Amino acid sequence: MGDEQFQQLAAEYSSRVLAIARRVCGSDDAALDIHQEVFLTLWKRRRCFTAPVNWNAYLYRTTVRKALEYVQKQRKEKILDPEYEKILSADNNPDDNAQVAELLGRLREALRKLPRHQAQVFILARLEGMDYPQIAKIVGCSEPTARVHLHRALRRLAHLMRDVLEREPV
Amino acid sequence: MNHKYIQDNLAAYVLGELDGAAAEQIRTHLSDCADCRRAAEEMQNILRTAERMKDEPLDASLVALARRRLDETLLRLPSSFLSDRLPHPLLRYAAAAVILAGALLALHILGPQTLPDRRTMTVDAQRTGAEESADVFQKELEQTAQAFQKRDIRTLARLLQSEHEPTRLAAADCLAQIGDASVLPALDTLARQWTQVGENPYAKAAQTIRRRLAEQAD
Repeated sequence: MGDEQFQQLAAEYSSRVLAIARRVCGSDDAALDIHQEVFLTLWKRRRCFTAPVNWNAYLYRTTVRKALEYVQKQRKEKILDPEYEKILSADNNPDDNAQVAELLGRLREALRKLPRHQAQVFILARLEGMDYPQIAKIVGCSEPTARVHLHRALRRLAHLMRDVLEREPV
Repeated sequence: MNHKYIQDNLAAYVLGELDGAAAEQIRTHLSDCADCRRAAEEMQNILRTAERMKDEPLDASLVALARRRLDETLLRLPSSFLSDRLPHPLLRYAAAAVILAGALLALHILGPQTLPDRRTMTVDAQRTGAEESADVFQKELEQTAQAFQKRDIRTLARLLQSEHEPTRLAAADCLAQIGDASVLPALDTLARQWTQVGENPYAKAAQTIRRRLAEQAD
C-alpha cells in the first residue's frame, strides 16, 4: 500500500472508525485515541499489505477489537467517563438519566466480557445496523454462524446485566 | 412446547427473526410463563440500550480533529525503511545485524568494487517521478549497493521486484555487471512492462548479461 492509498483510506474511513469507537467506548477522547491507534498501526504495517485487502472489513474488525480492549483497560483503571452516559440520556428526567447511564456503562462492560466474535457481531448488528451478509463478510464467518453469534451474545448480555435489568424497566 | 425450545429461540424471537407460526407459538408460551417472559424483557432492554448507544450523531469537528492529530503524529514519526518493512522489533534488530555484518564482511574480504553511478540512480528517480519518500528508496539503494558488494544475487533479485522504480533500475544495473543468468526471466518481464520512451534499461541489462554469457561460452 502506498502513502497515497493510506491517505485515501484515512479520509474515507475516519468518521466510521470514530463513530464505532465512540459508541463502544462512550467518550470522544477514547474515540480519538482509538482512531489514532487504528490508523497508526495501519501506517506502520502499510508495506506489508501487498495483496488486495477488504479495507472495510479490516478497519471494522480492528476498530471493534481496539475499542473493546480500550473499554477493558479503562474499566481496570476505573477512569471511564460517567459524564458521557449522562449526556446521552439528557432528554429524560434525572432519575431516568442515572438509570440509562448505568445501563450504558454496564452494557459496555458486558460487551468486553463476551467472546470476541460474539461482541463483534453484536456491535456490527445492533450499533452499526448491519445485516447478516455484511457481518459475515467482515467477521469472516458464514451467515448462519453470524446469526448464532448474535443470539448467543444477546442471551449472554441479558445474563451479565440481569441484576440491573431486573430492578426496573428502561 | 418446553422451555428448552423457547430458550433456544427466544433471542431470534426478540430480534424479530421468526416467521408468523413460530413467533405465535413463542408469544403464546410467554403469556403463560413468567420466567420466559422476564428473559424476553431483559433481551428487549438490552436492544433498547444498544439503540441509545447507536443514536448519538457524530460531530464533524471530531473527525477533523482526529485527522489533524493523525497527520501531526505521522509527521513526527521517524521514517525508517526497516520499521516500515519489519514491524516486529526483533526482526528489525536481526535485519540490521545481518546488513551490518554483510557490509563489514564485504569491506574486509572483497575490497572496493565498482558500484553503479549513484548520480545515474538519482536522475532515474527524478525521471520516473517516484512518489515514495526519498529516504525510503535511498535506504533501498544502500541495500542494493551492499548486495552488489557481496555479489548477493538473491537480494538483488528481490530488490528487482521492489515497488520503487529507482531501486529496480539500480538492482538491474548491478545484476548486469555481475552477469547471472538466473535473473534473466525477471529482467525480461520488467523489460516487457517498460512503457517509457527512450532506452529500455531492463532490456539493456538483460542484453548485457546475455552478451557476457555468450562471451564466456566462446
